Amino acid sequence: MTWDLFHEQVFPIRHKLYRFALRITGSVHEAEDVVQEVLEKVWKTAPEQTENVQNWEAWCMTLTRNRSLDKTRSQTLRRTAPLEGVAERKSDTITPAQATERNDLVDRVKRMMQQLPEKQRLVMHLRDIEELTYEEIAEALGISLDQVKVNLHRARKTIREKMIHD
Amino acid sequence: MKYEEIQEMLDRYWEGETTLEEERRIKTYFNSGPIDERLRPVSPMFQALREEQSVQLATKVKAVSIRPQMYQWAVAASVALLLAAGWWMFREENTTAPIVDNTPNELPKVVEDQVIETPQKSLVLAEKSDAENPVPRKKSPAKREKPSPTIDPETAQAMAEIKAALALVSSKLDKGRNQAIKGATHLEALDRVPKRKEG
Repeated sequence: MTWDLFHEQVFPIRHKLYRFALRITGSVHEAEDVVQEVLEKVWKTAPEQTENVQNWEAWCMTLTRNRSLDKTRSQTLRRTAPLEGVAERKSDTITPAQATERNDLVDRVKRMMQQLPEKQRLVMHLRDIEELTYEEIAEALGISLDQVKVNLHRARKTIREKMIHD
Repeated sequence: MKYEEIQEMLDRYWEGETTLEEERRIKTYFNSGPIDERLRPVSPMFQALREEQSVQLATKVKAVSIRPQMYQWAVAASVALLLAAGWWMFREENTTAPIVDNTPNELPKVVEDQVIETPQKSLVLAEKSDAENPVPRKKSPAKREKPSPTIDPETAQAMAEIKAALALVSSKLDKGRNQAIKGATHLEALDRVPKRKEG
């Protein structure tokens, strides 16, 4: 891995990798560890290997996913962890009362997303937050295009129904 | 944007039939300006998505080790040095051995010369102030001749190789250090980039 390649292709997507790791692990601390490990691993990749990588982003996302799942599965007790530290940004143009109400609803949606089954959660994250194409999602998660579409549809449907009925 | 237009896109959004561009327009609608009352129930969904998009890695990436590349070169250079040194020593042994076998009569002379030479050297050094100047002067050309046979072509070649290896090590270390400095500067600069830029 050369510095230029790392600087142009890998380093700029660190926030994206972090959000993805956070989506899977549900822990700020673990997500930070995952990103650090993935960046180091990519940096230490032998030059022969880097020639075979076509899409660095997809490759890094796959590494992030595998590393995050390893961490999550090693902690079998934890199921769907609450998403820490995601509701920090607040708009300053609304009143505190409005802010409380708004944040309650927005935070509830975030929790709903985090409670989706793993595959639906990851597909929805990559589409609705990272804005990847179906093809890119399929590559990053190692699933078929049909599975991407089915899982996305189910995830959105679940959130919508919960929002309307709750 | 008109209510009907958004509602139509939303219907397709829930079915997973919208394009990325349409999905961006939906998110923008719910996160900027007034929202139609009829659409308010689904608004938190797109506000949540937009907020999640701005989540950033808060900690700095720890200086990713810049060693690996330098490390490879250092190892390669060390191995080259060891090989060159080993080869040189091996050659030394080989050149002395044939002399013992093929020219046994000459060997004692060489040994004698060396044995005699050493005390004389020290004598010369010790008795510099003495009046016996002709002796060291006669000996000195002999001393000059001595080193030249030891630097035979093979040794010279070995030394040249060691020199080249050392030059390589030093150039690679320099290169590595420059890269490291460049890298550190880039990392710092990147962390100062406004946060929303990559969002």
